[in-house]
Amino acid sequence: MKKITTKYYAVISTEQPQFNGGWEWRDLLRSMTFIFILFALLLSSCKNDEPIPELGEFENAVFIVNEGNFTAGNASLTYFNHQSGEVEQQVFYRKNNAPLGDVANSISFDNNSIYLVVNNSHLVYKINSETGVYEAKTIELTSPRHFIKTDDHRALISDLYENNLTMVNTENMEIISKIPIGRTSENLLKLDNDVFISNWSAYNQDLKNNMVLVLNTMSLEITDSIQVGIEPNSMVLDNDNNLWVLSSGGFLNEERPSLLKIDSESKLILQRFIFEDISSSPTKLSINPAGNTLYFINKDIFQMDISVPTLSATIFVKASESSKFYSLGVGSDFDIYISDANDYTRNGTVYRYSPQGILKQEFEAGIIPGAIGFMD
Amino acid sequence: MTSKILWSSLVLIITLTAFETKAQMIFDTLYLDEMEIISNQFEFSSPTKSQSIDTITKKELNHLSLAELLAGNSTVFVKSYGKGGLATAAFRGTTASHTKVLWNGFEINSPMLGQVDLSLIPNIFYDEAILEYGGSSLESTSGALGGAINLNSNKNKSSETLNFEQAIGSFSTYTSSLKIDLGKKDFNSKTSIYLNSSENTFSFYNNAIIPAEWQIQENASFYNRGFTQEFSYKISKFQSVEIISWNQWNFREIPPIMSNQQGGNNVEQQESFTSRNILKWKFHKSNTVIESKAAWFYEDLNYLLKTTTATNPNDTVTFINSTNISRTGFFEAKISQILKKGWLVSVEFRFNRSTVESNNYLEIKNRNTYGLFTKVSKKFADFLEAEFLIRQELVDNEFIPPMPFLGFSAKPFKTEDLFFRISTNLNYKLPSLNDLYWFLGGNSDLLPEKGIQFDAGISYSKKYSRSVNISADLSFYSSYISNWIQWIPSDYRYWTAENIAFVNARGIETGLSINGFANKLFYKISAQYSFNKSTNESSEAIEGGYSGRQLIYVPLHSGNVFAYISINKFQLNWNTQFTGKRNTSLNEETQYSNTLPSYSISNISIGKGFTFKKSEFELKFKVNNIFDKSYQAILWRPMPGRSLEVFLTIKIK
Repeated sequence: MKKITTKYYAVISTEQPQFNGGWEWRDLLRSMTFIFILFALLLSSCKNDEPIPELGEFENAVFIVNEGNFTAGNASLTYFNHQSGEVEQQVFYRKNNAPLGDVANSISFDNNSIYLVVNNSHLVYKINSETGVYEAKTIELTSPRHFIKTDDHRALISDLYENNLTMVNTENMEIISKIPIGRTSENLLKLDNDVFISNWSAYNQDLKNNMVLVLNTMSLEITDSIQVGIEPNSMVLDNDNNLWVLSSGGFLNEERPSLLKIDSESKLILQRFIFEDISSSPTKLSINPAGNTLYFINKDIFQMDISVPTLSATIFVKASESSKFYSLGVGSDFDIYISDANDYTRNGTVYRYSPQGILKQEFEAGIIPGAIGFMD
Repeated sequence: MTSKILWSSLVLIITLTAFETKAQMIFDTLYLDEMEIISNQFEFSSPTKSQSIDTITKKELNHLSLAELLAGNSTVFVKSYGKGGLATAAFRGTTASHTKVLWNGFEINSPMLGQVDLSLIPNIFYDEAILEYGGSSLESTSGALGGAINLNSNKNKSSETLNFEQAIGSFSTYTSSLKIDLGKKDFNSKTSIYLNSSENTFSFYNNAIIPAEWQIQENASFYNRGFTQEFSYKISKFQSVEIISWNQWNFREIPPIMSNQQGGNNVEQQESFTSRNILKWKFHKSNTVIESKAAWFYEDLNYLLKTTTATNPNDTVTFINSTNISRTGFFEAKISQILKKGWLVSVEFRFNRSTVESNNYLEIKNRNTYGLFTKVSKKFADFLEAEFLIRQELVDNEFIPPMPFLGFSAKPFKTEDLFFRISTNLNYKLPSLNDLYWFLGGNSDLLPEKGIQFDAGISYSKKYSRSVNISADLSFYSSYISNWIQWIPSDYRYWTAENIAFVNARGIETGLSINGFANKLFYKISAQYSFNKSTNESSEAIEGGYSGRQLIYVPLHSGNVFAYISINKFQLNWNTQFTGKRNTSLNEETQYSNTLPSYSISNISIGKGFTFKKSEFELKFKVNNIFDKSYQAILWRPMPGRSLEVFLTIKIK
């Protein structure tokens, strides 16, 4: 029979070869030695853990909360000292030897602690505001989004899927109660005894997602509601204690985006600015510490004085072709921090601008820098 | 006799013209019978690079899936989400969609995903696994820019009429397999049955939560149940027909990642049924082989995700019930002829049609592929062999550019089995139907990915004495893949598929194997190592400053060592697999982030056989992950530590 094989065998066959010689221990020994040297080389190439550089206490801190990719568990916390310009990545991991979790969503502060809401890990971490070391956590949350202190010992947590707010004891972070509000919740903003709650998501509710609810912190009951545009995604208070609400108009562009100015006392709408382009999706409304200049992202970064009679926002920073502006924050020094998610799979970038629009600094953050928090 | 050939050719031509078929197949497969006869000789002479998985190794892992087989015994990178979880294979610094898996010559990659889940391929359902690296895969299929895995059934009757194996392992894992081989000289029937289930409740140290603690893996159970049935009938001395059917039912729970504490009573699971059926007719006489095959593959895959609020288990928040049915019909016809003076010619036509019905597509989608394959090779005396092949495809009425392969191999010394080989080729990989039609994000304007590939190698084998046989191989490769498809965020809020990257994958692969006898003792040791560097060199990557960075989940180094000793029905088996560190993002490596550490896992088994009348029994103990290594193949997906298995095998001649 003609022999036709064109295959090469890297691992030789198990068929037993013919007997044609004696046993040669030396050959076997030699080959085995060779194999084990190779093996040892392979193994040795893998073991060299880097020493962990020490990380000091947080000072003049700006924190960038990096969401990470959904279900990848690669959320992280970046620390930036706005005085010295020093940047440290992965500070949560380095302080606690554990990852922040899956999809970190927001950050808040009180005098002694930092609260980090990790959405898809269903929890909120409380860490020390100076050392960053873990103190307590709230677990068994459905889809937590934002955290706000209502008094010295209690806080509320909003939820993307639950029709409740969760009230926790901020000492031990244990759940005190659930407050039914009939809708899902997003941003939380406190003014005196009122907490303003935006209903961003239409998920798990039959009602339209176009409301801001008002909860009284004493009675823990909803006392009022304000109809705003569909999908309110961010809110701020200005220096007259007016509430500004930015709505994107819906996931499927159901209506044109809007910016509303609301009297926080009477809950009446004072001004209604409607965006021209129905397909645009403005987000991340922020305000400077003086409470007189608004900033938001609408592909580019826009700036707007609170006293203007019409929607006359000007471009503050123009987006380049490749930039994906993702988050925005204004520091106590009036500097504007803008994050760029790049391609959402690599680390993002943060740009720091002066109020005059001059780029002061640029630094790297983690994957999808989604929230910016200022500790001072 | 001539009339028979004429008759066969006529049938072939009629079928071809009637169905506008398309062809394919590896030459060697046709000559399987011959190959086995000469199987203790090694031919390194081919210009292509392929590797056959050792039969001892395969036997050792027959109760497991192709995922475990490749992870431990090849340099192909297996990306596993955990035992029983999704596992995909990537060759030479490419991705899972660049790996094609063929079962008896037909592609089993899902037409939707373009990938194969190796954990759903029990090793008992095929007899032989041959890996074709890089451009060598053009011998069997197109589009396998990384490589192809050929799984073949051996139609010859085995020496055992019945082979039953029961395995019981840690974490309530049970595997039963049964093989029945019946037949008289012209008719043969082979049946394989496989039942595998596991609670998969292993414990792991969860350091992704604070405080870290030992936890038991929950919601990770799985089962795979199936059978294959083969009938082969020899019509005459030169003609045979075969029917092969593979049916399988699978179920798995998908556990959350380590950092995600449960909030609510979440359910995430996947259920699937596959049926794959082949009808083959073959004519083989002296230097001529004519083969005609048809196949029908069906796959029904359901993915279910249900999440509830933490407060009320009846308050469902997310409910995704994704149903995906794909049906593919194939037809192939091939003729191969050995001519005088060392010439060999083969021509093949192929046709296949895939239909996908999915609630993730806006409508039912089809893809029709016609293919033509021609191969010519020539042996110049004993020292040089040249091979040229070309594939041409017509997909949904559009011509894909031709895919040529040209290779040479040389044997410079007459008395030494030392071979040099070199080859180059062009290859195109079509976007998967998900890339094209997934709602939202599928992009119907996608172009095929284009690969320009180079390969060179040296192989050597020598039999020093009865106690020492050596074979070794060293390969170098480089591939340039343009129009590489990636899912990226769009200007809207969903991700979309784009031809974005330009990837250069290059590397080195080496293998060494030694075996021999010491009186009654048989030993075998083998080691493999590969170095794969794979980077995106597109202008976007250069601008973004990540062009030189290793692609995610591609280990730079990987290797394995295997040792086997048998004496007087006693056997000892050792395997160590090593996987180097992997990037999990394209960023520079910073402290504790963006990379997963390397790991090496070792398994050992000890077995002893007994003979009782016509039956043979074998009892075997196996320890997996002997050193109880804690590791992750994918970020925050836990893997089991040390585990035990006990096997009882009964063989009846």
